[in-house]
Amino acid sequence: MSAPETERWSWGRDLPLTAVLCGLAAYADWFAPGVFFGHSLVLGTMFYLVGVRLVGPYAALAVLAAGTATLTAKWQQPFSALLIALEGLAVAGAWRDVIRPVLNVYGWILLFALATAFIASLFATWSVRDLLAGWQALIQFSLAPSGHGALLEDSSRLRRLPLEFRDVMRRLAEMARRLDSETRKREQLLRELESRVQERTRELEQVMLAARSADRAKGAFLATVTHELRTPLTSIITGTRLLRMGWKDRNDVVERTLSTLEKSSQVLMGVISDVLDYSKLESGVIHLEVTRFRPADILGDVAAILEPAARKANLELRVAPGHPPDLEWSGDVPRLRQVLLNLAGNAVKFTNGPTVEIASQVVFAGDEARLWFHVTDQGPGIPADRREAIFEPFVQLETNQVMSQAGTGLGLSICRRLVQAMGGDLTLASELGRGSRFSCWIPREPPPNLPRPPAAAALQKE
Amino acid sequence: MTPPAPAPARIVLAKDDPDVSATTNDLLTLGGHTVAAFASGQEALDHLAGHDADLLLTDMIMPGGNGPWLLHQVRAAAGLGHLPVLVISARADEGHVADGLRNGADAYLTKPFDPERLLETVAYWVEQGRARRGARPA
Repeated sequence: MSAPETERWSWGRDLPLTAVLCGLAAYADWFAPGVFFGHSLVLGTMFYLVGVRLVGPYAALAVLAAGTATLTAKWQQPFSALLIALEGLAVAGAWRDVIRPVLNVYGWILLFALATAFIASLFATWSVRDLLAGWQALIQFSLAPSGHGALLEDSSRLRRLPLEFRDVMRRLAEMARRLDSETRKREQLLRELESRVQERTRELEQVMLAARSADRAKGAFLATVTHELRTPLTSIITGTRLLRMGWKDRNDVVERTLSTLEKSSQVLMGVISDVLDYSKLESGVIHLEVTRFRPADILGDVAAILEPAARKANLELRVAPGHPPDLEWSGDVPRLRQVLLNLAGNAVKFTNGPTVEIASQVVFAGDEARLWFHVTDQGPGIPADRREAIFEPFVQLETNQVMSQAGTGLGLSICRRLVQAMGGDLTLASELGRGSRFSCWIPREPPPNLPRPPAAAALQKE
Repeated sequence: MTPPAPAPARIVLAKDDPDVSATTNDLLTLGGHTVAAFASGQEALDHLAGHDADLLLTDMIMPGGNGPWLLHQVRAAAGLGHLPVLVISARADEGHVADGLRNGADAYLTKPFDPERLLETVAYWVEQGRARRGARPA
């Protein structure tokens, strides 16, 4: 919209036009003698200038025409300019006498209509210009990206607008302000939601990862257990069939088969009780039967059970209670014996050093008294990177040990969980080439409520 | 109960578990076969290099040359192409069975196996092996 352009005075356009108009006015004066020439000049220029300034050049022409008509009417020669034009078109002199009275009658009416139209157009143009400027400003205002209030206060152009527009704009600005603050709130909400979604996604990924690894562990558990069950079962089924095949005269075969049956049954029994123990510990349902006992007695039991195996392996089994022999403690004796049998049994089974020592001692940690058991061997030791791994279920050292001899790989995992269920812990110190020492401790009183094993708790959470 | 008609054969047994090895050995011996039992794939392969055999019975998981390794060696060896190989494994899932067969095993038995089924399978594959050997003059 270029309405403001018309307001500007242009020498190149307006001066010659003014001159021509003044000339016309002068000619009209001459046509209607008795009127001062300069008067016409001043009036014409004024009309034009006012017209140009207010309504633009074309409307100004209309203003001038109306002005001329007014002047000619004033001096009783209406439409002198029209007559001149007719003369200029070489209208015959006779026609002049016919036209003049007609023009004289209707000229006044026409003059009145022209003046009315001019005033109306003046008003209309003025109002439309205002309206257009207002609309334009309104549109620009509404298209502004932000800061409507400040725009309304600062813009001098907006301040010149009619009151109604400014009112509308003030309301618009208020609305925009509210919209802005709503939008900001919503953006913040969106950001919060987005970050919460990301957080949840991360959590979900972690849970899925944990579930997948638990799934893998379960698969490995099943595969290993299946393998451990199938091997002794094979011997039992084949051995039984052998005995039924009618070769009873072969005493050597019968004897060998019977001993295989016995051994395989025991292996099977061991696997099953390991798996049961492990499942119970995993699901946290293990129940401890707490009684008073003498630790020295347990050391003696364990040594007595392992003595034959140790003798067979050329090992010296040494028992070293580091406390008075009549010391009493509280705990689940069969479970404790199971742990020590497992630890010392491993030492006897897997090492060939000269001695295996089972020691016990009481250590005070602050106000708390702890009963420690140490099983020390002089075997090859356990590499540092495997010292935690061997407590994981089914993990065994890379050895050439026959699988059925090595067991399920659940033993240490069960031992640690058992000791933890008793409120203590099982740790390992080892030096490659020098030997290993498994140490476990239990508190004077086992915890009344058994802590859930961490793995079981984690599984439950998933 | 009588064992299937004896088709005396020389069988090489590669198994690490002493109990399973002993009972299988006894079963095959009572079935009329001659058994040479070894605890590792390497020992079995060494024996095969120097002795004629009608059938190889191997475990999958063994220290010192496991089942797949032994299968590979036997299939690659010049004079052992005809030798029937039976796999006995505690790994019973389909993936392991397929692995064993892909590695060139003729049959795959899972532990615990039916003793009579083992004897039947052995008898069948001994026949097959002999036919193979006859078809291809060694």
